[in-house]
Amino acid sequence: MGKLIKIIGIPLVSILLLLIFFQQYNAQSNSKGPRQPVLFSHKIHAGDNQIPCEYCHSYASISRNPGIPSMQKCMGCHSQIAGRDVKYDINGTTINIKNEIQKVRDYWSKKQPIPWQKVTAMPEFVHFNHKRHIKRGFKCQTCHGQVQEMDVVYQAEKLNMGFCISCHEQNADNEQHLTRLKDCLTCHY
Amino acid sequence: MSDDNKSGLKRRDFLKLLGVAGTTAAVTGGCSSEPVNQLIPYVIPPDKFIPGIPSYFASTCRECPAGCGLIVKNREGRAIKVEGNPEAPVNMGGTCARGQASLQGLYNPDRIRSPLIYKEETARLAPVGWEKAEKALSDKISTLIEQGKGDRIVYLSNNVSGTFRDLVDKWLKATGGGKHYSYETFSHEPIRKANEILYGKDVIPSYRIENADFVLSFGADFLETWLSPVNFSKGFSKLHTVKNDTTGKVIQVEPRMSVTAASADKWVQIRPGTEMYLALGIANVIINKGWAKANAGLLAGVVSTYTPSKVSTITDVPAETIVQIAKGFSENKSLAIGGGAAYTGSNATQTQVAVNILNHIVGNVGNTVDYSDILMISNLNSYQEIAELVNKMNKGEVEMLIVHNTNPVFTLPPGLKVKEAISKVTDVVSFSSFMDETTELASLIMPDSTFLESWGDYQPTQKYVGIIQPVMSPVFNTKQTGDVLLSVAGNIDSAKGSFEVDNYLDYLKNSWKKVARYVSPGENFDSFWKKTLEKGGVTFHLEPAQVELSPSVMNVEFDEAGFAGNGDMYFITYPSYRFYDGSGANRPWLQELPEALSTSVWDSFVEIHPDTAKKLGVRTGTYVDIKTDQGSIRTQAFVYEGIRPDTIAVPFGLGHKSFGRYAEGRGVNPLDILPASSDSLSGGFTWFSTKANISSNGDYELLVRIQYSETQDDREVAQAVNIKDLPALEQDHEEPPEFYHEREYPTYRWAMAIDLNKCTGCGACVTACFAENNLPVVGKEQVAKRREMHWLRIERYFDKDTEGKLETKFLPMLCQQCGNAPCEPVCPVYATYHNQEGLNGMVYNRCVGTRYCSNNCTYKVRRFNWFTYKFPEPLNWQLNPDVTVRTKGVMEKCTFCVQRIKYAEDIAKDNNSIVKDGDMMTACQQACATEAITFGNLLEEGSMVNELSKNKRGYKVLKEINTKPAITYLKKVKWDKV
Repeated sequence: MGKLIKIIGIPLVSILLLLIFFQQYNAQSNSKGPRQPVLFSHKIHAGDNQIPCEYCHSYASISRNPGIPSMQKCMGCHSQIAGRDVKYDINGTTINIKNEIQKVRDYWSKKQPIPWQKVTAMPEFVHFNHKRHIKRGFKCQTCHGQVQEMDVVYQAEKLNMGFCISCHEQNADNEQHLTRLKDCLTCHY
Repeated sequence: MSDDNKSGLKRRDFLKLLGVAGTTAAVTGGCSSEPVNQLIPYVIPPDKFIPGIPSYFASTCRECPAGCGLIVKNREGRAIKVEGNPEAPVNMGGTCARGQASLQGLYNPDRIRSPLIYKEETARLAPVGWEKAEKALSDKISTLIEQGKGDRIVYLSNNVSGTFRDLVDKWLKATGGGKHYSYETFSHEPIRKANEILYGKDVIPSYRIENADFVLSFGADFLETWLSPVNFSKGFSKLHTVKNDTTGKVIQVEPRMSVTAASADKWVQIRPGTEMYLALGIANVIINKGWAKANAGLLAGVVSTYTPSKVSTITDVPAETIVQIAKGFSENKSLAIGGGAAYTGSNATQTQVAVNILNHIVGNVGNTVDYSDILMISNLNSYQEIAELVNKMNKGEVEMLIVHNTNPVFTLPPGLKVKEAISKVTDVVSFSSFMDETTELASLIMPDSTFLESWGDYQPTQKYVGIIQPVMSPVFNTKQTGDVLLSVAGNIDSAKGSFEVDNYLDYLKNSWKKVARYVSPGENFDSFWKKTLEKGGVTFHLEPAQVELSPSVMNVEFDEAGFAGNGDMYFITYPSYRFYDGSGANRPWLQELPEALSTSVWDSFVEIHPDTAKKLGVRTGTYVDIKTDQGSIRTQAFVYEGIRPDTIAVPFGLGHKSFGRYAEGRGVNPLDILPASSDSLSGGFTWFSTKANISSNGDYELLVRIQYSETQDDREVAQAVNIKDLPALEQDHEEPPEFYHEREYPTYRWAMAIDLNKCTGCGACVTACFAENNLPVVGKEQVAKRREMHWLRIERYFDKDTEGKLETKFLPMLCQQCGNAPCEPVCPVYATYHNQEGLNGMVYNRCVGTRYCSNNCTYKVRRFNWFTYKFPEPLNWQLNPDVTVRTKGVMEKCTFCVQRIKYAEDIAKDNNSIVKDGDMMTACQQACATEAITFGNLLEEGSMVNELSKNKRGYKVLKEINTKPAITYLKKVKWDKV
């Protein structure tokens, strides 16, 4: 009996746990983004008001880093737009839009930055160049998901190597190009 | 079977199950990718910064008086790399190891972080705000002025020129008439004095090695520290270019083989202190044989008694060699230079006069010696004047001593008792950025921002003024001294009106308005200023200066050099090209940069000839006691043939008692055993003035080095070709037949060519590699275990030439990016592989650390991370964000600066093009002052590297192994005779 447990039990429990792990690992990222210091809605900005992504993330097409908007950029609009005094449901949390915008104005008047929580995490040891991908004509949504529909932005894709490579494979012009796109040194150095 | 089995799950099994479950949970839990970082936006974005794209600022290096132009790379507000400014006439794009390491001065964890003031109550220095510190200084000065003692203020600085010198002079005038001394450890007074004697000009001229093809150097270490080493390296590069099967020649005359002598075509081992006679002997031959080009006039009489045979007995140099040198010197476009600090003896000025005579009689003045473009270190105070200042301090005639960027306690001989003298000064104020032996004695410390955080200008020579501009905001709570002086003056009633401005930037601009009016009259100042900041400085047009021989040369008495002490060994102390006057000792990159000849790191050593060592019973590593009348020092022996048997030598720069964690208690200061004597004519310190006794009790410890083998055992790693064989030389292009199919390179085959005839072993490339590629410094103990992390090392081999004399070859060794790499097939996880651009890729996150690759590497260029090495805050600010910081258990090696390649490819793609020759440089190539390294695309017809790889001097290291390296080395060219 004891032997049986040893022979079957140990591998069984291990496999079970590993299965759970891999399933979690491979699953689409959970759709809950981190709670931000200002409950900012990408849906209102990029979706409802159709502000292009690059208006705020203005370096995406000229630099490897897309950049996040400066406080000055926020205030470029929000010095005029105080927001409606209405309740808004942001992923289950009820906020008042005007209050949230007031928070931004408070940061600005103190000349302090908003300590945003980072949403999209690249795996380590990878160099990703935003410029190259935007210039090739990819939409931000390809990797970042339908941000314009998200009130709270979450990481839509795991951004693991399979994700990158499958896209590189689909978009290679020819065999030679594919070799380049699949070369380790393209991203890892 | 026992009963136990019936009881179901046993305790042991239960624990086992629990263990497995726990581990699996830990694995799954540990890999969660919950985002934890914050993104902090700019409040107001800076105008011209784009995250991810570097900005470049032109500035001027202040690590030594040469004043090279720099271009500093800044990423996201932090300076991360220093390059030479190609537009600066001083260095023309080159840098040295010290210049590269200036970033570690900026980010040094041992910098003084705020003003400090001495508190009586606690008897220690305590941090204080800038306003209070400035008030403390202005109160003290006000009191002195009231007492009528304003003229008892002394401002002691390193060499300053341009606007800051003017400010200090004005400031001292406004505060009661104190005196400004500027002092450098190596200040070359004998050169100035000799020019005064010969031509009535108390100056140091510019030497144009680039215009010469025969350089005769009497101990001047012009590739290391002498006057302007990067400039001379550029000149050396031109001189040593192999063209039409010939090349220029450098003859180095000195008792020990310096790095310069190792790169020279001939090293003449002269009897110490007799260089002067050799110069006179050569002049004698030139005049007697009628080879003189200029009218020798008076000089014929001066040199008439120094016949080759007489000189030969004095100097140990064969008469035949003297005649040969004389012939070569008069036949070619030549230049004679002399007097590196190492050989400034009691007759240093006379030696310089003799060197000047040589230049004069063959007509070098105006060609290779330029008296119009004089060096601004000609304005320094001599050692003698500093000694007098020390005397004054001793007598209590100095009320306030302000020390700025100089460390007299370390760099003046103890016999002068400068420490005791300083303690007799009522108020000692230091503007030093670092705590050092002198600053320790100060009661008020107002840390200066380093030159990389400051505004300023610096004039290295008459012809050029370089701009110094901040390349980032100050790392610590420091303030640049110009600003401090101005605000202190503003606090003092009597000085208030002397300055129109209250900050140094405005003061600087006002001074440059005058320059603008002179250089480009009519131009709007703002546009001139902007242009100057972009270019890094302005060049003036100079009229050629005429010099006339003065009859005072007849009065020079050519005395023999005198040596103090009754020891039997000549004792040489030479400036280290790594630490210069000791100010480089707190930079870990320089500590871990191997000294080119001994390849020793992190410590001092004494060079001893094998014969002497045998008599003494010591070997490399044995501790040796060196004793003079002044005291004794104890350090490890480095036994080699690059020194005369009657001479020993210890490099200068280590032995700090206070200078931060990297310098303190490391090595010895050879100055401790030198007498405080000076050359009577010039007042310069005599670095070479004593004899020493050596003894050893046999204590042995490993002398920690990078390379322990001296010779290449017939492996012909570093190759040379005799100049006679050059015309018939052909490169061996033969390749063995290939079993597998040939590799294809569609667009690029990245490759390198290294000209061994130009490499001087200076180590600028090594330091640049550390800076660019985030290489960790591992420390002496780890280097001793062969765990250094150098991606690029300079291999040094000693061979014998045809006359049986020592011959040194340097060979920069880095990953050869083999087309047939031995490391690749042995990697079990495919972490290293060959890519379609010819790069031998190294994927860090795939590496599991088996080290098979390193074991199989033919060239031993792979490095393993035995630890996760630390970069103490804020040294980590310097890390290149484009390069992964490796952690424990990972293999690494030279990548051909793949991040730079990727950056260049990215830019090229924006323009729908491919990377062309000159679009990018590797870090080592960019740093190399002699342009020995060329990098590019082998497939591009006409690219430099394509041309050089076909050069007839080209060869591949260990070709017989058929690794197909991407690096072509160009053989060094040897001369049979002088």
